[in-house]
Amino acid sequence: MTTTTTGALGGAATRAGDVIRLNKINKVFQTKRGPLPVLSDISFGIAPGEVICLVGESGCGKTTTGKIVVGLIDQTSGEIFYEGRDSRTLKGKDYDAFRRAVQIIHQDPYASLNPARSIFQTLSAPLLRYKLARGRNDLNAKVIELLERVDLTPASDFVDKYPHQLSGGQRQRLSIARALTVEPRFIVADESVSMLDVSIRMSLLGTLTRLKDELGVAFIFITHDLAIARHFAWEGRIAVMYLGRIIEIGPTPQVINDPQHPYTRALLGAIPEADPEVTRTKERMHLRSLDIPSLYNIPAGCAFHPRCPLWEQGLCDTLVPPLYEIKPGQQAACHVMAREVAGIQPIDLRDAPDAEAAK
Amino acid sequence: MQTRSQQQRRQDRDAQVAARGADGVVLSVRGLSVEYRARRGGVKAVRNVDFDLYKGESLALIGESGCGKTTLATALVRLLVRMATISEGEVLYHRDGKTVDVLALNEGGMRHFRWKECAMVFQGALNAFNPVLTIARQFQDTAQAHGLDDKAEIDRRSRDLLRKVQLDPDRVLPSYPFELSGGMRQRVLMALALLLEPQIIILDEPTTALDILTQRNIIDMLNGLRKELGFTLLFVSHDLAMAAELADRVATMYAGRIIELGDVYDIFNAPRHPYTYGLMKATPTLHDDASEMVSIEGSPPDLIDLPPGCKFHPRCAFMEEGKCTTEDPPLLEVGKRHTAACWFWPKVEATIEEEKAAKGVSRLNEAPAEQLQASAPQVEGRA
Repeated sequence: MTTTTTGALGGAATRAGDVIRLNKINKVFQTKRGPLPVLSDISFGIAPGEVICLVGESGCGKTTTGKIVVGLIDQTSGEIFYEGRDSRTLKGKDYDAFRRAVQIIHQDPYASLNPARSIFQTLSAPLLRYKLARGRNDLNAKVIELLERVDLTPASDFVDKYPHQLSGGQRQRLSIARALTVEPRFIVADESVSMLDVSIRMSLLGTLTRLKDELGVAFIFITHDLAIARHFAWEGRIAVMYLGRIIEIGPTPQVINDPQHPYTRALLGAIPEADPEVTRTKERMHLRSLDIPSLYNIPAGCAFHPRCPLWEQGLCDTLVPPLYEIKPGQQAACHVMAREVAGIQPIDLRDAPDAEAAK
Repeated sequence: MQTRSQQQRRQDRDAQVAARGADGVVLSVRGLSVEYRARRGGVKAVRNVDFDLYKGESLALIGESGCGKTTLATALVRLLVRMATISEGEVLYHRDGKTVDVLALNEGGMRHFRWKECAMVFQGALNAFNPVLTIARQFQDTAQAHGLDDKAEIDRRSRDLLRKVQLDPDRVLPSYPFELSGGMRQRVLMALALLLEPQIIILDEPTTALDILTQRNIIDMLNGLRKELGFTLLFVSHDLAMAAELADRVATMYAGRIIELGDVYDIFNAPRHPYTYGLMKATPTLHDDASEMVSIEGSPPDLIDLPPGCKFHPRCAFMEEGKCTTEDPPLLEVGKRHTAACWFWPKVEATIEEEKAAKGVSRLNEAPAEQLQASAPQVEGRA
């Protein structure tokens, strides 16, 4: 089990056949108050058709990760590999193919659709840009097909409508259809159902699940709602983020039912659930502090140590924990749990063998 | 099917209800209707709502956007926007044996009623503090506007309340709103709402837009304050989990009406209105079988041009031509202190019982070994 620390670091990052692979992504925003490190050392890979949920509280870096993956923001350091090639070295046709392959569905369907464009215009623009439709008839047929795919039916009723004539759920479906126009292999869905009412949310999640199964599209699904994450990514993985780092990652059932990182435990214990019996009796983890530290002043060692009940002086406040493989396939950045559960001796992330070099 | 704790809880609740008796009502609402004027016609946002609020209880109004929950809550303190009018109904407020007709109060009477008797915290109010005034000034202004002029007394009260919401008065009082986090501002708001010792507190979406751990803290704080101060709480939420956490009783609203009202455990374990049942099925939790999740087909009705009969019938799986399409059901007695506006509620009951029976079997078959570790408390809770 002692070698697993290397495996832990490399495990997520070096699987063969990944569509997208992030390797040690760092992002620092330059602000008036100085450098703001919003992402540190983010590494994971996504296989075709796989779902990975990024969860965490506001400001943890989940949206920034999503935007970096699709190229809306540049990383400060680290690489994104698309089919094994560094996305920043891609040129011309290859770059076009990469941009087509990765799409994003934004959080707010009221802000992400151009109000002056009809549905037809919204959906036909990318089809024309990438020459995916030949002639007027083909274009019409493609638009209708897209609308049907996202359950905006009867499609002919919707074609000439404008966003203001659609409800929130319908707008979000249109956003999905727009992302699908260019036949992506990989979609980042940023809080795509959070703004919707309960009764519509499930049907939209159903639509996304169907697309994943039918088209083999891989998803990064960003949400703050662990119940939704659990539901959508049951067969995939969950990555929990805290202050710009992934602090736990693993198969969804394992992370939800047997969380290893104390922060994940605290989150799961704190979530109000729609069942008075459960929610009023469930075990809570009491944190030592309620305040989330500022990104300008991230605590030394494990960033969670000032709030963590398992904290050990001299260990957690000095060594930055790497993602230890605590259970098969499940990694958590916690020195104490790694030692107690898996017998792994604490190391500092900066001393950990480089996954790339090891390969 | 009832476990021991459930029986115990029911007995406690019965005792509680018996103790408060008929004069335990602090607010009774009868036949309340609110309309918004729109170009196309009147928007019937609240229709013929009846309910009683009992002393010391916590009542949740739940429903989706546009169901009228916020309009209803706002109407109780008569702070509706200008396009809205209370077209019908009665709101009676009871305190110390006296009864006040809230809708008949003049401006002065209303000013006294608001905040001193009944305080309301609006949704997103944590962003509505005056940005150029310190928190101390906001406390003073509020108190003075309601006739409390003794500065020392105001200071004493605000310090006391801030400590009750787990804030450090020395730090918070001299601060400006932008210096406080969202969770802290929400707690300051609670303290501010309690400043004039109102009997009723109305909260609109008290934890929406807060992070999980902050939300947890606000929920625990609210439960603690209720125990300590004994005020009556009416809160509005779109989130069923909030009702599960904070409510003694739950009222589900749909298309402007309360369509089901009952004890929180009954509403969650034995809903009788197809809409409430649908909401439960559409809300994912951390332990339910994901494959059981189903959304409610269709969308809420146009509030200007409502369908005939039961307003939910176009979306309802239990609908029967004739009865449901012509007659809007009143709230019918479906259990102990539990009412639902559905002609065919026994069918909902039967469906739920069938599901429960089927689930009992599948639970035994599953018995996933890894679940027995960290989620042990949840698993036990369900068994």
